[in-house]
Amino acid sequence: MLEINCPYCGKRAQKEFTYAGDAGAERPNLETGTNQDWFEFVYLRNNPRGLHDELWHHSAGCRRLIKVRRDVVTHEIIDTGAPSDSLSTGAS
Amino acid sequence: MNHQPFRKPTGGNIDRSQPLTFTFDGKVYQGYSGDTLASALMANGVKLLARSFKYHRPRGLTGYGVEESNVLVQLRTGARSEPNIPATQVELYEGLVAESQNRWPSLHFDIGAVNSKLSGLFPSGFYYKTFMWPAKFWPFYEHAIRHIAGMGKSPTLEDPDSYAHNYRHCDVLIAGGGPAGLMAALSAGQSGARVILCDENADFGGMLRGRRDTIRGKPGPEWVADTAARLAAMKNVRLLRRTTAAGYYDHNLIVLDERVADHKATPENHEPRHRIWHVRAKEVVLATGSIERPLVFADNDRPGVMLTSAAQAYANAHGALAGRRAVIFTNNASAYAAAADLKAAGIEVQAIVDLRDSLEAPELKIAANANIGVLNRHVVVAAHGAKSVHSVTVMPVDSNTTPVGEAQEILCDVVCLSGGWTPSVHLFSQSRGKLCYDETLSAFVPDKSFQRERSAGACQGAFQLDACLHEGAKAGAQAAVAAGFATTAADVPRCSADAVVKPRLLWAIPAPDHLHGGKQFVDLQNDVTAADVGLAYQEGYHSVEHLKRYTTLGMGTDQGRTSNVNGLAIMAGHRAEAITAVGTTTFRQPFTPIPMGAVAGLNAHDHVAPVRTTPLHHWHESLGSPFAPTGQWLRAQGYPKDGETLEQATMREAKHVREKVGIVDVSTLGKIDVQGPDALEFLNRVYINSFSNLAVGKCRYGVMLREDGLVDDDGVVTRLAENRYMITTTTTHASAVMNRLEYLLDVDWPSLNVHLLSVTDDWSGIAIAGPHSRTVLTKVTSADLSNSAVPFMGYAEIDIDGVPVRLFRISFSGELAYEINMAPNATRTVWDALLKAGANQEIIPYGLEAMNVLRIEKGHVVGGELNGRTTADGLGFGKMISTKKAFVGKVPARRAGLTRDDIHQLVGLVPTDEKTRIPRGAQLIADPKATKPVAMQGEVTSQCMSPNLGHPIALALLNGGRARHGETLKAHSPITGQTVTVTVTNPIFIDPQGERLRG
Amino acid sequence: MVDLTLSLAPGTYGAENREGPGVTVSQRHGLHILHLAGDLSDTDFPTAARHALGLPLPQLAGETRDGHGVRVLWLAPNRWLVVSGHKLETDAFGEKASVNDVGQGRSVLRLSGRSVRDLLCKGCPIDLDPQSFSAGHAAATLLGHLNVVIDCIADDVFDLYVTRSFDHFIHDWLVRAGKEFGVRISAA
Repeated sequence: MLEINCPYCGKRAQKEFTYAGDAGAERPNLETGTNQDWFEFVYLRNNPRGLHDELWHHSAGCRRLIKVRRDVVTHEIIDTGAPSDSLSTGAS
Repeated sequence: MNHQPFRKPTGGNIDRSQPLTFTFDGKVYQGYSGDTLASALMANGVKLLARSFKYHRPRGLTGYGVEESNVLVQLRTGARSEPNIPATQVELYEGLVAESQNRWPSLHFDIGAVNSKLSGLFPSGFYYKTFMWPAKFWPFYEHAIRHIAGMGKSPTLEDPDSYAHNYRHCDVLIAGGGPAGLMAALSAGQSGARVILCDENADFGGMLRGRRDTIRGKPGPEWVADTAARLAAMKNVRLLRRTTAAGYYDHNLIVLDERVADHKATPENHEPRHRIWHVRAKEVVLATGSIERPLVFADNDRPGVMLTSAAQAYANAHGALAGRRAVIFTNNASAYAAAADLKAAGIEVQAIVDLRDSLEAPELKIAANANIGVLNRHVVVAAHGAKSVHSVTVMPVDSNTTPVGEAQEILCDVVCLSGGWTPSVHLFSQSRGKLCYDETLSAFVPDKSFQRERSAGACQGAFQLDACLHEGAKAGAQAAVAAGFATTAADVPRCSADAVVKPRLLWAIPAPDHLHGGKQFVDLQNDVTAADVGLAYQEGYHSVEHLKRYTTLGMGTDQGRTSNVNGLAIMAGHRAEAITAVGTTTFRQPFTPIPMGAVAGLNAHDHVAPVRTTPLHHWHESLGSPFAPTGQWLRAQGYPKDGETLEQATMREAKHVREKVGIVDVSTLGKIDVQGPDALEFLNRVYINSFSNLAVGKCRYGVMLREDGLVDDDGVVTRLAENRYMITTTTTHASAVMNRLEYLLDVDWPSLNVHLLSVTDDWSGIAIAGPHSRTVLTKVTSADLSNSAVPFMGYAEIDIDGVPVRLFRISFSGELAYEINMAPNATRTVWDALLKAGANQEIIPYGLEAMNVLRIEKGHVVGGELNGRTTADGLGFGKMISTKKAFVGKVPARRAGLTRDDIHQLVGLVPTDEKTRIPRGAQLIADPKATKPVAMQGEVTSQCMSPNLGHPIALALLNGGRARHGETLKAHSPITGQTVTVTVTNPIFIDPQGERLRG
Repeated sequence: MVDLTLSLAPGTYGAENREGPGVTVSQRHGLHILHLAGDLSDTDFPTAARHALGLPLPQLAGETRDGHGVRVLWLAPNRWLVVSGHKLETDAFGEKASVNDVGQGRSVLRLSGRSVRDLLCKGCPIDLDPQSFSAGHAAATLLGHLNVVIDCIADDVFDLYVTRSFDHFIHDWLVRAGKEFGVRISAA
């Protein structure tokens, strides 16, 4: 059970959150996105070992979507922020 | 029954003034307060306590605590009965009832013991190899095998007790309350940090409970009591006894299992039986101690063969004697103090048989002082006896530790084994810490930490008391500092010295030829022998994970606490590799079993999922309506009267609404308030149809697609004000739709200035439907409800009986209908007003079932049709799809596979005999007798008897269905076995032109 | 079968202690509650809100503010719950605010007594120790299965905001969870 630092509410238990998908997948523009763009957005995902940016919905808290940079091997959470934030690489 | 022949007259941490009566296998015994079931049975001289899992061999106690492998009992009777409880873990209470397991008809005469005679037939993998064919017979084999090879019995009655969970946060959690844990708690506690100290036993002390160490010149247990009292006086320290740290999870979450009431016959004053603690700790100190290892030789499972530390603890802590004459067999120095303790307790110690070549002065001094003979460079090669050991064969060993020379038999009724010590690294491993193998200790010890924890004392190989105290004090201070508190290590008291453990290794004692055939048990609980490990190696199962699964080594409820290292070492021997190369299997949570009830906690029975009720729930209930769970909601199904069935009531209600008027509770529909300057733009992006020309005070039906272009949900959008809308969702999709809309705003379109709020509970809903609905409404309001004032898809804010309501002219039934939303507290007022005002029009309440019939008759889609695999066009919404604007799912919905003519399209079905109901879920096919596989052309999604048409109808999704009206097909249900001949029709059975709802 | 109605009856359930029930649950009626949403960075909105409330909006996570018979709870960025004993006009917050009257869509339960924190800890994963969560703190979180808002009024007094339709369920949960401490459900 992870402990996720909601950028708005502070550290909360994973059970307050709902996983909301890959934060790296880029939604095509509604006006200009092609069929191929949508195909890639809907169906294709990378499955990297190591750092992964993901979205979590703080569904039992502030109900905001947040971005979480998590090492999927160790479960270490490097940084969290708003969906549009660029997160720290944890390298420092 | 008072006589306890193996109890010392004095001594031990028991209260002889409080005798307790208990029953084991139907026989009544007496023990004392402070006993465990194990110590009380030992004091009564009961040695044969169990039969082994596979061979049904007679077994007795081997351990003192969680390491007990043999004596698992069925505890209590009836609804509170629990199987597989180690007798060492059961605190004695008045009236305790326990039974032995895995024997029939009795422990002393067990028919299954024939397995032991036939043991040549039951090697490892026997079941896999023998019963693998034919596969369909496996259930039969399984039944028979379970009868003879099993553990205890699951209770069949409902558990009468309650279980609790508890979420806590602390700065320092200390697992284990032995000398190291207590010192850690003192250090951390004095820093002001929030500290939790837990220990699995009834009291703190760990190894000090069973030994005769002194601290500050006083017996160990006295120092423990003083220290516990000091800690209890600290407000920031929480002491948890009878609490096992069972699991170490991510981000320093530790799960504790507190046995609140297991030491009583029944829980008192509504206390839970167990409490599961979910502790999020900033820092953790592991002080989980170590467990002595047995030695492996022929027939080492005879009752009376046990761990040296266990015999010592029974004698010291309970005054219970494991036997009269003992042989100690050791490979290290720690057994000497234990031997002296046994001698002091009155057990005749025949000899200490020591594998080592040369002995050191301290242990020789102990033996000399106690007047115990030592046979160094000797081994026990076999134990003898059946239901109890009566002697051992001892032989000298050469420099290669091979038994050579003359064997001697020594009479004894207890054999104490000390094969070194295994640090309890379970929690450390669960935390994903890395282990390393310490050659001196011949044990795996913690190496690299992964989470914020540190080990102290015996669990990291510091077996001496003085080291435990020092390490504990240091670790507690380090943990507090790491958690942000300023402190130094607590003062460490002086203590007595104890032996340095440096075992000489011989993992399985080779049996001389004349003793050939005696089984050398490695894992007593699962009956795995040294030969089984050899067989696994021979058959190619070299990896420890394969070894474990092939032989079941370490897979018992004791998780191989005493067997793993021996088993791994034997495998390493076969592989001619170092133990490090073989590695260990994964340590998994929980450390000791947790009852299922405790895992569930309060989330049991009707609290498995939450339940929502509408403001009219009690009204529905008072009219005897049954309720259907719909998502989390309970919805009133209908109002049977005068002996009607629900089905009859449904027919009556559905017919009545079409002919006259009815009201239904629709509070469960999802409602979302959408506000902000960009609300319109947001809705246009979300729905397939445009709302740009929707005027304030008007409603419009809308459909949403998912990102893949398939239909997600439908609902009604009402423009309440220039920048304010209310949208409805289906009852079951409400929360998913809200989550998705929030996602779109936060992640994809953060520049849109829109606020969403679920207002499902802030507005209750009543629908009034039927030709007389306007007539009834006009009686309760002064507002103008004419077609020009409130046309179909119109909206008005009016008063009903003084209650301000939102009135929507929308229809789910296809009749003239309105939906009324109001503040929840006013629901009953409005409901009653409508029933009263409609009396002349014969108004009735109708339920979910009639509403469903009405919507099927009208061809409206719900969950069965919105199944995540249908397109907007397939459901008949093709004309709604905007070509002028962009919306979610627009591009993917144009993919070739979703726009073909032959995909699923909504149709109606009527049985050709106009009588037979069409089973829901049935497949539409051309000919059920055709050669398989039969092409499946569609599926039945909703069905009902239509009281207004007088025959059954159904909705279905059929390949290219729109062009196939009039065709005849078969609806075949493999589940019910029915095949119904059906005619394909328009899905709108009633009033396809929609004249009624516009009336 | 679902059987949730029984526990709604006022009375004392569970453990009998000399000191009386460890927790008392009573429903707070007659509260006016608004859900307020607006952009703090747009100065018109906080100014209008301050004018309407007579106090500034709390801006820190989990902060609550009191005054003039109004209590304001921070729920999320740009979202607040405004609770008062008197009716507040929804249009007093200016054009930039999104306001919903949620007074009847929430059950507000007043929990008090010496065991109230222990009871909440049975279902709530946040740190409820007095040193972390005291008067002036509120949190949107979980209690058992349910999304709730917990507002600390005083050391052993809490207000619990629960979606109305779960009213039966939360009462039933509180009774089950509270039995070990003794729980009194006071008359409505």
